[in-house]
Amino acid sequence: MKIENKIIPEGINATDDHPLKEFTFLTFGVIGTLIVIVVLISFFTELLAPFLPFSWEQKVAAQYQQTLLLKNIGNKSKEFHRNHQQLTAYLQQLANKIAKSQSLPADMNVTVHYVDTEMINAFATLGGHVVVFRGLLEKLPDENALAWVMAHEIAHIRNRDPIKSLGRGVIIGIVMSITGVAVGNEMVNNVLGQSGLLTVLKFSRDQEEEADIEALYSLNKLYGHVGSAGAFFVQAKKLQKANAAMTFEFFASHPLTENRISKIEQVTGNHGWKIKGEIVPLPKQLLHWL
Amino acid sequence: MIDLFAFLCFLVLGFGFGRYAESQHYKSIIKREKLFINLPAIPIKTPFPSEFPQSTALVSGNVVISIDFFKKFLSGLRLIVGGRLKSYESLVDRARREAILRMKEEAHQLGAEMVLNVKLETSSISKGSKGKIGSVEVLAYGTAIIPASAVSRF
Repeated sequence: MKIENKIIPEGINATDDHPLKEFTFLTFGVIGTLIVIVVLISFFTELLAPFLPFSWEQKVAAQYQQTLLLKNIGNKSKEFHRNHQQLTAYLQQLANKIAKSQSLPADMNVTVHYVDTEMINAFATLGGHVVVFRGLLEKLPDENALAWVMAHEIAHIRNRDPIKSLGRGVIIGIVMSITGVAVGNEMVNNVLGQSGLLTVLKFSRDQEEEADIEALYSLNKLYGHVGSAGAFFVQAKKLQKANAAMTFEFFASHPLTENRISKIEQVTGNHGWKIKGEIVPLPKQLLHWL
Repeated sequence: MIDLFAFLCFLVLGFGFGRYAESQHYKSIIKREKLFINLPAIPIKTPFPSEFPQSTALVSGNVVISIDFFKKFLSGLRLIVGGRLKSYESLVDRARREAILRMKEEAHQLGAEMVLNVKLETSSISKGSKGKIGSVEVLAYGTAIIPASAVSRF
């Protein structure tokens, strides 16, 4: 008997298929499905979130409110405490006025907090808490501008945006960790996570736009004109230029500043609101309080 | 954002280099398989009575091949939907054939005319360590049958 090895035929153990074919099929299939799931879940959370009672939201917020306040006040001087109180009182009464103008439901109360940091920002969070940073107050030219920013944040609270994003975040987190456990591959997780996140941001951009418009209504109701509405953006734009960072809208949670300004102008034009009018200055003591 | 760019870069690099390495390797494997066609390696345990080996020797060949970033990514996606892990199949195929070829090369240098009792063993080098690029090891070993004419060369 003759012993021999034959030439091994190709394409049995390993296919000749081009790997890019598989890559395209898998990537678009998996990421596409994931995006559909995330969009569907987000949609349903948005539908259901407003049905959660506001009191529940307040209870959740109370848990971390303590830490926020402690960090903020810490061991500062007596004078600081006095100024802090006066400033908060001023912000609170402004918030109450705005809340009234937006006709918030009776059980929904807004609490304003002031945080002594450089950050030029303000945000709304669970339980009707609005946090304003020192950096923002230093940069705003007048009360109208401040009212617009606060009206924007209060509109978020009115629209139940914080609880919507929390619900979305939790559910998407669950989806991600399930796929993460199933896959056990960091790279894939990373990519899936990114694509999931981008879909979430899109929803948040719509919420921002809605809040922008709502804030314009408030401003017009309170002051009779919408002047200074864009003042915040003028500052934001300066900052953006200073940072000179590339910003693609798709990767940002907020719409690009230019787009927001043009939207404001468009809405103002549609309603025939006045752009110019009496500007209410910020209280003289404000800089002292800061 | 930067993560995503870095990831895409690695993916393209992984695909480019991985694909090139694989096609070069297959070319070399096919060429050398033809070269050693007259040195059969088979799994039977004992030589035929007609063969009277003058000498036998243990010969072995082992190889470690790493997957590339692209293959790893593909495999990760595969784990979700299931199916043939094609990106790894070619890797294992290459490793197995290369190991046999290296074993044959050793046998050839000993002047063997065939290798009997061929066995293959495989293990993955970075088994279980998360985030590391995996690689596959294949060890081929067997008994080289060395005829009298070759033994005198030692």
